[in-house]
Amino acid sequence: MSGAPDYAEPIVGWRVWLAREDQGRTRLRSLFHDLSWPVRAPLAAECLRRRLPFRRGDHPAPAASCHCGIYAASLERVGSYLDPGWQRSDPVVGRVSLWGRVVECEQGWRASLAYPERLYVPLLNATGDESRAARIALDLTDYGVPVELFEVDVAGDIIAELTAVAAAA
Amino acid sequence: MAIRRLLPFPLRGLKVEIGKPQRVYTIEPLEDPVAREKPQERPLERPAEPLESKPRAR
Repeated sequence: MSGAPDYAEPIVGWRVWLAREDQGRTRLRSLFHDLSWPVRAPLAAECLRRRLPFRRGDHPAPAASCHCGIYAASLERVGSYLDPGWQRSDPVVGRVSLWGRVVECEQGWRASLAYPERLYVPLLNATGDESRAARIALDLTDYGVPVELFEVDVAGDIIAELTAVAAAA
Repeated sequence: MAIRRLLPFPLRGLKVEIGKPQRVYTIEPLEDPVAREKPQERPLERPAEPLESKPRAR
């Protein structure tokens, strides 16, 4: 792709991550890939299908004809990935900036570059470990973006609560 | 989970479903969306003070 860019403002969508320890600090980990999001640097997309044997035609990620790229969607859409069982898995919900090459889809986007814009760490009142959630939130401030700890009664309330928070912001 | 880690590609269905592509475009933000590390500030050098700041009173 060459020439002038089409837009000068990043897309901001929603994502769900898992909080995972990486070299002694909590980092954002993708749900479906063993990938830790870098701190203070953008995550750059790479099409992993090219690693398959006999796969031809490398392309820059994301390609409209592929499924590659860094995903983001509406809050409602990503909410369906917050399985109630994940309350044991330290989910983190957040807004993410997307830019570079962007494939706009029916219910979200795939982009070549991304970085968190704001993070929300849920603290489940029923089963939550407040000190653990607080430590996760503190570690995630390494990303240099606002990190909020918010209380919910059950995992199913996370999206409703965040919808209210986002509307008030 | 262990099997998933070994695979270099996402299993089918293991991604957020966002529907079919509608259009492709490029974005070059005017402001950097990355909260980059700020360069450490150099300590301010104190300006040299005059030997005599004001005439001594007799």
